[in-house]
Amino acid sequence: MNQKPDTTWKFGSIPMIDPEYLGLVLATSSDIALLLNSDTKISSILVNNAEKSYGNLNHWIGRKITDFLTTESIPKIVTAIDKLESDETVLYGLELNHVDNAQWQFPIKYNIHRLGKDGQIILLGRDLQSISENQQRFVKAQIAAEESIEEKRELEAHFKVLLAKTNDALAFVNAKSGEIVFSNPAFQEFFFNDDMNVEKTSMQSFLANKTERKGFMEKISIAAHGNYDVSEELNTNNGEVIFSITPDIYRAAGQQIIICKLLPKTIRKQGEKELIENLLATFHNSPDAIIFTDVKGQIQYTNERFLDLTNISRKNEVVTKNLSEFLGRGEIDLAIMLENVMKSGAVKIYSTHLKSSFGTKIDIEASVSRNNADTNGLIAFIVREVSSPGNRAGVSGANTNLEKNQDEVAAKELVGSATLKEIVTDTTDVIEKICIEAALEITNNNRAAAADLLGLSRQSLYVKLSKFEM
Amino acid sequence: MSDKNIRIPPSSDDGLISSLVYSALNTSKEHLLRPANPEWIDEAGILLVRECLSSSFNQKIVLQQLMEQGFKHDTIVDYCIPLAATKLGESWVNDTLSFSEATVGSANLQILLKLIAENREIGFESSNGKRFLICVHESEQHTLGALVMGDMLRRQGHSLKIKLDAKFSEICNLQDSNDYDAIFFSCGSYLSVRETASCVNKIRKTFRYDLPIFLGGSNIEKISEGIDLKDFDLVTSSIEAVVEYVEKQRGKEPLGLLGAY
Repeated sequence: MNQKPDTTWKFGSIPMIDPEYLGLVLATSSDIALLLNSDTKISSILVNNAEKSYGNLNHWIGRKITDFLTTESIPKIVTAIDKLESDETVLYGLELNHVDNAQWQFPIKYNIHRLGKDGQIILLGRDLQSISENQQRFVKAQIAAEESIEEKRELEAHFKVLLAKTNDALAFVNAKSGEIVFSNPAFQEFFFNDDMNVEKTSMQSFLANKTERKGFMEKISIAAHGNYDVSEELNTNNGEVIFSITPDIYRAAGQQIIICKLLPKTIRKQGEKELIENLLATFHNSPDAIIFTDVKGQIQYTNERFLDLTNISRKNEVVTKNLSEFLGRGEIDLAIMLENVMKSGAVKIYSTHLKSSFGTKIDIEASVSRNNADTNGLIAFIVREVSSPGNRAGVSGANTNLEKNQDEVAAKELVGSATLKEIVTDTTDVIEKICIEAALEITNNNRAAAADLLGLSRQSLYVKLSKFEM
Repeated sequence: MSDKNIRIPPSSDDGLISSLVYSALNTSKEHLLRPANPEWIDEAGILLVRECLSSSFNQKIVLQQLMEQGFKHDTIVDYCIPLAATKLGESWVNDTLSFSEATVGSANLQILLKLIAENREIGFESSNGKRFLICVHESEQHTLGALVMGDMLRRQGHSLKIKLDAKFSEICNLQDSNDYDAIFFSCGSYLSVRETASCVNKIRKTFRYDLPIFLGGSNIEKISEGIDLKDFDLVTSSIEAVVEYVEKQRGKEPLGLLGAY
C-alpha cells in the first residue's frame, strides 16, 4: 500500500529564523498578514511592499478583525478561530471580504494558524482582487446577455400579438426545405386540423391533390422572386380552397424565408360564406375598378381592373400609394370626394380622369361609399371608364360631323360681324361661365373647393360669379 | 342480469380498454413520479451542484438526467435550481468552494434555467395577469433568484420586465413610463439589501402614490437582519403572497389582455 510522504517540516529540519527576518519572510510570502490577539483584536499588520492598493491600514490595529469584514465573512472567521481554539488545524483557505469605509471591499484568501499557546493567531493572505475583477466582468457579461434575452422576449410578444391579430392566413416557410417555420392562428384555423402540429410540416403537405404538391414550393419560390401572386385554386386536406397566394422572400439569420399570405376561397362562417365568395368574385372579376382606401386615400386593396386602367402590372406597386396620385386633378379630386363621402356617406357620381403609369388620361366616373361609420373604416371607390368625345366618334360619327358643320357655319357668320378681339373676349366669358358652373356642380356648390379646382383665389371666383350673375 | 355480472365482451373493445389502461398508467406515472419528497429534491440539488461545477457541464444532458428521474420542468425551476444555488452559497461560506467556483456553478444553473424557459410554451392569452417590474439592484451580483422568480410569475400568466443591474434613475423611468402593478427586488447579500433599502426609500419619495414594493431572496430573513425595511410592503419570497397583495391593492385588470410575457 502506498503511503503519502509526510511533507510537513519536522522540528530542526529548517533553521531557526531570526525575528528580524521573520517579519520580512511573512510580509513577502503573503500580500497581507494579520496578527490577532486572543480577543481577535488586530495587534499587527504586515502588507507586502509591492501591494499599494490597500492604502494605510494602521487604523485597524487595536480593533477587532470582524469590524473590517463583510457580514457574510464574519461567520467564516468565527468558525475558523473556534476550530483553532479547540486545537484543530484549519487546512483550507478562508476567503474573506474586507470592508473599510462603507463601499470599499477587497477579497483575500487567508491561511490561518495559531502561533503558540497564548492564543495569538496569524492570518497569511493572498489578494484575490484580480480574480474578483474578472468575476465582476463575467457577471456584467452575463447580465448583458440576460438583458438581450429580455429584449428578444419583448419583441417576440409584439410579434405574436401582431400575428394573432392579423386576419390574413400567414405562413413563414423555409425556402430551401419547404418547411413551415411558423404560422399564425388564422393560417392554422383555415388549413390545418386541430390535431396537427403545423411547425416543421412541409408547406405542400396540406394540399389534397398529390399532383399539385409536386413543384408547389418551386412555384411559390419563383413567384416570390418574381414578385407576383400565385392565383389558382388549390384544394387543401381539410376541405378549404386557396384562392391565391402572395409570397415574399426575405433573409433572416442566413436563411431564406418566404412569407406566404394565403387567401382562402371559403371561410368557416357558414352564414356569410356564399355572400363573401360572391363579393370576392365580384371584386376580382368586376369590369369596374374597385379600390378600398383609408380615410386619407391610401390604397389598401384594389382589383385587377384598376391595374388595367392604370397600366400597372402588380398590386404591390399601388397598395399603400395614395389614390390622388392616379386622379386627373390629384389631391383636389380626392379631397372633394372624401369630404362629400364623410359628410353624406356616399358620392353617387364624380367625373374626372385617371392617370396611367404611361401618363395617358382616361375619362372616368367614380362612385364612393364608406364601409363603416368609425374613423378607421375603409372608403370604397368604384371607378368606371366613360367614353371620351374622341371615343364616341365611331359610335355616332354622323352626329359629330353634323355638329362640326354647324360649328363651321357659326364661325363663318361671326367673322366679319365682329372683330377677332371681340369674338375672343366674348367666347372667353362663355367658357369661364361654363367652367364655373361645372366646378360648382362637381363640388356640390362648395365655392372654396370650386375655386381650388379652377385654380382661382376665392376672391376672384366671387368676382366672376357676380359678373355672370350666378 | 345484474349489473355486477356485466362484462365487456373480450373481442369487441380490447383495443379501447388497453388504450384506457395505458392512459391511466401514464397519468398515474406523472403523479407518482412527482418529486414531492424533499429527499428527492435534495438529491437533485446535489446532482445539479456536481454537474454545474463539472468542467464538462452540458445543460441538455443535465436536464435529461433530471427528467429521467421523474422531475418536471416546473419542479426543477421552482425547487431544484434554488436548492442547488443555496448549496453553492453554503459551500462558499464553508470554504469548500472558492467564490469563482461558486460563480461558475451559479452561471451554469442560469444556463439550465434558460434552456427550460426557452423550451416551455407559455400560455399567451392571459385573462387577468398583473404587470411586475422585477429589479436586481446594481449593488447585487446574484441574478439567478430574480430569473427563477420571473419564470414562476410568467407561468402564472403575469407580464414582467426584469431589470438587472438596476439604478435608481432607471427604475424610476421604467415605473413612470409603464405604471407597473408592483416592483419586486431580489437580493442575495447583506450589502445589496442595505443599498436596495436605501434605493427604495428614494423611490417612495419620488412616487407619492401607493406603489406596492416587495423584497425577496432565498435567504432574505438572514441577510436583512438589522436593516430598516419599513419602505417595503412585504419581505417575502412567496409568489402567492405577492400576487395576493397586489390583487387586493390594485384590483383586477380588464379581461382578455394579451401578452403573458
